Amino acid sequence: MANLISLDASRLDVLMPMHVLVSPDGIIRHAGPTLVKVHPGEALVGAPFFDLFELRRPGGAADICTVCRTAGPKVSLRLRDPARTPVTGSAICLTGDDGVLVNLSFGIAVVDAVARFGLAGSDFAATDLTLELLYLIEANAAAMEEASKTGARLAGAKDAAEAEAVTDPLTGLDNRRGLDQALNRLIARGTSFSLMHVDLDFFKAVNDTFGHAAGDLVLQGVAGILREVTRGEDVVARVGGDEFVVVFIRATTEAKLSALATRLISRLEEPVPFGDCEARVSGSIGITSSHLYDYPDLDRMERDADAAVYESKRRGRSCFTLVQPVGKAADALDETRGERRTEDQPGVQAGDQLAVQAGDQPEVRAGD
Amino acid sequence: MHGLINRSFESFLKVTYGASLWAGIAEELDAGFEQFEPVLHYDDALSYQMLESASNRLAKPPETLLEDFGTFLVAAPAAERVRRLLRFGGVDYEDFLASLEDLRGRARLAVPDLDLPQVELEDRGGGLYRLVCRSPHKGFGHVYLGMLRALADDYGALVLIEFEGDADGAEVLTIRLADVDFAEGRAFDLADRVAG
Repeated sequence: MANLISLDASRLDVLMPMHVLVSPDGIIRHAGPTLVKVHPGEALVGAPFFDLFELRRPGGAADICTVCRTAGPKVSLRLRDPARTPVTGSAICLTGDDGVLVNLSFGIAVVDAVARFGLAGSDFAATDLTLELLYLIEANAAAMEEASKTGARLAGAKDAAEAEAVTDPLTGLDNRRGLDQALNRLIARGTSFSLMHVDLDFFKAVNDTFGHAAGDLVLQGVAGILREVTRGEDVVARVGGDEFVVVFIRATTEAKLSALATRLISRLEEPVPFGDCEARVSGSIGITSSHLYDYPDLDRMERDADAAVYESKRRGRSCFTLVQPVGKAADALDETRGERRTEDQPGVQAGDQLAVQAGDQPEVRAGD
Repeated sequence: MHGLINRSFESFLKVTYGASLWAGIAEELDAGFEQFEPVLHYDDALSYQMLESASNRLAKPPETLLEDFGTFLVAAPAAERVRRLLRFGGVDYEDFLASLEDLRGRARLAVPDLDLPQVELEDRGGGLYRLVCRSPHKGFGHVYLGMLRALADDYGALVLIEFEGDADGAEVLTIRLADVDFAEGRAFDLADRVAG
């Protein structure tokens, strides 16, 4: 037969370093060098094949000859090492019923096997792609590591950029940081200004009823209204979920501030169409001005404006409260403005301290 | 040029010459970042500006720096990963040389947009080889020179390598294997992963 070749087992070692030649009675006649290496100190030749290999598939075969005669060439085995390392391969019957040639591979388990048995590049056949596989795993790990480092750096840069940002992304208004920067600039230059805190009323109900998309729409609408009622040099900021601050630059009279607040509240109360529905909010406002203070301390002014907002809420929302210096003739203001006073309790502190502070009732003037 | 290459060269400068040299170069480049990102791409001109700046500051010719960079990639503990990936190429130095033609394809398996030079190894017989290195980016030949010399040490082979010059837009090295088993090389364990 022209195609019948004769090959010394040592040549098979080169082509298939993980092969086993098994005699018809199931005894190992020869084992390739890599299989010898993974069985240190064990005599392979002369040992029964199944003493060293556990048959997994095909199941039920009593000996290796039956396996390759009945089930086709593919066999799935395990080494009888502590890890029960899986090996797969082909088993073919030799010409003339001279036994079986089994050629094995670690398959994907090669990654662990290489570490477990200390295998080297020379332990694999030249046609074996194990080295490429290991190379790929390692190169891939390196690439992933670099990629995740880059990801972490970019995330850090994003955080830093956000920390430095002065704009509220939803409304395009200044954020708290932008507001603080603007106020500090004003105070440093000695420019007088009025601080108007606007807290939306019924905003939570809009969010709860129509969802966040409606809420966002309302907030953007509010931002637009605030821009419209202010001048270009004024500062408008969103400082919380539904809290806004407007800084009116340069001295503004109480009359003008009251008129602004009144107009603002009526604009805020305009319904915002959302689908087939209308979202409605209003606003509670607190206002203070830098000229009321000997030295306009930012924290103090914000606290006072907040207390004035709280007062507006307390009085039933949709109104504004002006912070007054203690002892100032509130009655006179009433006369000139003709507005009603809902609180008539002068501040008790001496000097130029403001009425709005813990334990005191603020002097308020209300507008609807 | 791929960020991985820029970043590697940056690491070479930082590790070999210190952070202050790099800080000066980064400032001179004025690219708006302090370090290259290995997953991004950068304008080629920036890479050559980096090389020129380092060359001026260190008073070393660019070719020498590139060769040192190649040595760094193989010999420096900081680049152990690269040495390992190169050592996967072959069980001995000759085997490794033959694998250089595959290096570009291997690198692309892990980083698909990494464009390493096209390398051709001419076997002249008797242990004499010519390595022809083609790339749109001039200078890789010198990096390969440093890399191949360092790998000869790594394999324990006695090899003479010279930069032959440029020919038809390719950079050519001549490699003469004197003794492939000259010395005990550095160990290479397939399973010895570099700690992340």
